[in-house]
Amino acid sequence: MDIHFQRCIFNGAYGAMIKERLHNYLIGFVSCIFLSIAGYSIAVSSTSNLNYYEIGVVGILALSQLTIQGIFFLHLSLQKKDRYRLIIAGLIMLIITILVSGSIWIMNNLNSHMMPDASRMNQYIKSQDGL
Amino acid sequence: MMLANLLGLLNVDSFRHDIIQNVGVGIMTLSIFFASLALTYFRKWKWLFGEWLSSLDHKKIGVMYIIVAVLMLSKAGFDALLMRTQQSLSVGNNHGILASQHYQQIFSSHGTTMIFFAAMGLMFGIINLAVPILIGTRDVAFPWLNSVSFWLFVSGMILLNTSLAIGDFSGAGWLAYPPLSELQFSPTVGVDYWIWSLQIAGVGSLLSGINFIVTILMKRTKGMNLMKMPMFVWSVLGSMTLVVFAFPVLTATITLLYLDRLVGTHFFTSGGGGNPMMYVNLIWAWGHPEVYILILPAFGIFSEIVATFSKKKLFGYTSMVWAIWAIVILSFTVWLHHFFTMGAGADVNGFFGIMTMIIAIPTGVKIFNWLFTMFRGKITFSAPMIWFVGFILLFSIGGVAGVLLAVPPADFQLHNSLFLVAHFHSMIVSGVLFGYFAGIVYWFPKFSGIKLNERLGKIAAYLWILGFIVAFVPLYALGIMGATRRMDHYSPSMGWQPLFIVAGVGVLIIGLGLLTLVSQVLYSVYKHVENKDRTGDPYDGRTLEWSIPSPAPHYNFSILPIVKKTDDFWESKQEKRSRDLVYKDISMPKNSYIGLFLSSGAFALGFGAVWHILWLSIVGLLIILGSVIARTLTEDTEYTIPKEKLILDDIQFYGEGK
Amino acid sequence: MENNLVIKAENSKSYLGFWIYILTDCVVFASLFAVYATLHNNTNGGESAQILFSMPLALTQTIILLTSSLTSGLAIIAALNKHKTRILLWTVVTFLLGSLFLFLELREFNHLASMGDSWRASGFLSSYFVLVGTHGLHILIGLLWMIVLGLIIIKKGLTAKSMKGLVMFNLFWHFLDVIWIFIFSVVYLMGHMGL
Repeated sequence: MDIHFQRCIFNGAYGAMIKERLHNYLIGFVSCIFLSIAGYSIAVSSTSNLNYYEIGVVGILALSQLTIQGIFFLHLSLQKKDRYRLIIAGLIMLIITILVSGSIWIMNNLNSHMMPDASRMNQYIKSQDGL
Repeated sequence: MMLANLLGLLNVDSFRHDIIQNVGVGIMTLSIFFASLALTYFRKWKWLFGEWLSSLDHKKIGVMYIIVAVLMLSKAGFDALLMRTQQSLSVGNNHGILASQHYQQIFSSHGTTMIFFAAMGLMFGIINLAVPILIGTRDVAFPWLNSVSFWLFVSGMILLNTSLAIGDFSGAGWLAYPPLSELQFSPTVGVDYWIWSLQIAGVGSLLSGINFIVTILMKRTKGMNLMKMPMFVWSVLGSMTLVVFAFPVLTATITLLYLDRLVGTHFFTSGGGGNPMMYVNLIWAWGHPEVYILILPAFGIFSEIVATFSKKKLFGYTSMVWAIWAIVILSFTVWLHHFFTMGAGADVNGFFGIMTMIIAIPTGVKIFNWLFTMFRGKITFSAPMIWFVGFILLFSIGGVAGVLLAVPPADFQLHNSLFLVAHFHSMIVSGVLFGYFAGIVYWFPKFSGIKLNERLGKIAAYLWILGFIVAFVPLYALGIMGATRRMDHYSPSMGWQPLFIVAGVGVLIIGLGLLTLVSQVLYSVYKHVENKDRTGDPYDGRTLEWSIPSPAPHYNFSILPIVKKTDDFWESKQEKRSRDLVYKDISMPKNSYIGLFLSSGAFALGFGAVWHILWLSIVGLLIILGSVIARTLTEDTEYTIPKEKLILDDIQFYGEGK
Repeated sequence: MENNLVIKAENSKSYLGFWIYILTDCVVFASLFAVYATLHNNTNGGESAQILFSMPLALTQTIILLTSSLTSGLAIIAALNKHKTRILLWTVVTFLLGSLFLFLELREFNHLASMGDSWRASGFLSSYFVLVGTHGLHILIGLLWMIVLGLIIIKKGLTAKSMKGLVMFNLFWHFLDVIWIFIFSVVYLMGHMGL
């Protein structure tokens, strides 16, 4: 940050608050770049197909970015002025988790109960031979 | 060639219908014609536009919602009559009065209209009327947005009704399952009408949800902590939270269906990698919360009514609040019970079956709390209380039928039978409708300054209760006997016809009940001099709305109240509290036509989307954008009411003494 | 501090209301993600995500959008300092980054469609184009919003209303980045890993 900029923004009554905001943005930005590149590296250097551990790590990195962006960009905190926003956001995240995971569970379950395609069906019939 | 492009899919055939549809179109057109004639003769156009259509007053918006809702209730009720007639007559060689295709459009229209326009309309109407006054404020958080919500609701309603006159409506049921609702099996514009009237009305609902959440969280009067709010306001907060969580799922899902139909994507098609069950899954992930959206405010209304007419504090306030939030969260964990039979395994079915039984518990808590409120109270069986008693009886029966349906093996027998139909009508009619009717009757004096005729009110309630029993108990029996829903013909060997005829008589009794309800209002208004509410507090009420004049002035409170306890108005009467009469100038929002304008843009967008008239949709979209930008640039949005006027209004109503 | 228009805007009813609206938009995206999760293997004989999507492009888009999120925050800092020119400067930078993002995305869509991998080809591609495309549509709306906002700030200056608009836009733009992180992770990264 150049001196002129610093003199501009850090004076006056709000100086400290604005400085904190700026730091929040910078920390958030740098962390998220880092997390994005980390996820990218894992994905691109992955050698085994459908490695659930690696996929899980990428998922956790995404959730971490969500948290960081929530705190540093979207100004979520436990302070009274942010409390309603935090509660509503928390509730929505719960509902979204239920909806998405519930839907995936249900659709997978339905899929597994569908009649298999021709080749799998033949396999199954062969495996039941003699009954 | 050019003209063909200009009009999209529209052609002369779009206007050709069978005789029953023509009668419907005729009635609609004549009603509009005579209304216009009356407005011209009595020179009330300026009044209509200036006082009502451009109003941002939450009370006026509430009244308009209710009027539209009652009209839609009548239209959909007429659909019900047609269905009952068909099912009473169409046995063996007789095929009744309706062709199959037409019958399917009727039950689809009946369900869609009832849920989205009658029930949601009554709900938003009452919420608009009552919530700001109950929390001691002068308007909602975003008055202009409130007007936009209402006009989007009207726009969706008009689009739906246009389908009667131009083109046809969906025959795929009120939820339009694919593959039937895909272009291959529903090649006409009907499903598109369904999609777009719901999209438009749905946006209106979503915006109202946001509006009321912010209103309740940020505009309560001084001293009214969350735990001191009237229970109705808590129930609205819960319901609006559900709106905000659930409606986006509907928006996304029916957009995907529209894309399948318009562009040829493969979201829910039978081939090409689509998955029709995904639609069923998502639509019910919205659909189940939707029914709780409808019922929670009705529960809240009953909380107010029971406490007021038992002259006793609501029993178990805290448990009532917890019950509301339990219902809000749980309503997102049960949606699969609407499709137990569609291929899921026992583990999935079992989980959702158990959750469905659990969600019955908070409702049970509420019912017991109402009964405990009545216990040892000084009870007046006014008309609203008759509605409540009917509700307790019929809703409970319907509710336990629901718990039976929650058992997956039982549901395999009863899914999509008339047992299911009787169950959900029990919940919606004796829960939602009775609750909102009771609310309208209860709060009527506050908004009109006129007390309703008690005798007619009680007769209306009794007719609805009797009519409901006669119309739907046969359906419980028929369902167990194997009768399926949406059936337009059956064999005489089933032995069902007598029950269908009884059910038909029930619908006639309900119709009579609706007429009586409307007559109650009309007659009381006719006799308005004798029925004038002179105190503003006709029931010796408990909550803040009874502390202001009737009809409520435009600004609600001349002095914003300061609240100390729950039911503070009642408490202040018991303590004979006096008030510091400090009047201040207040500012209120000015009227605005932009909501009306924006919604006509929405209608153009929707109509163009239905008939593939691209230029019309683009024009509609530009009108919507233009309206939003116009409002952003409007500086002069409020006007001041001087305190002298406030003092005068109070003196005029209460006399010098107060 | 209390007289600062930006702080007032952040404590206003409009801010809370817009926040709730943003969350409802999250639910729309959640539904689209659920659809993508269900349909992403339904390639209808076509190629899968692993083959079709370019990783470097996805990373580039991610960095561009993250940077634009930062610059929109810097516009808010400028607003807290009541520095009109800097607000406009950072908004223009955000606009340019957003436009670049959208350009890259549209170019990729066009490329896929020209190869026959359009949104009509399969359930997978339908859900891909609508999920990512809806995000792109929101970016476009954000770009239009920036133009209107910029014009209002130029014409009417730093008023209570224009600051509310700026603050709401900022929320909108940040949230678009949050959604993109999930698209990046689920569609591109996990897709590349075979999910």
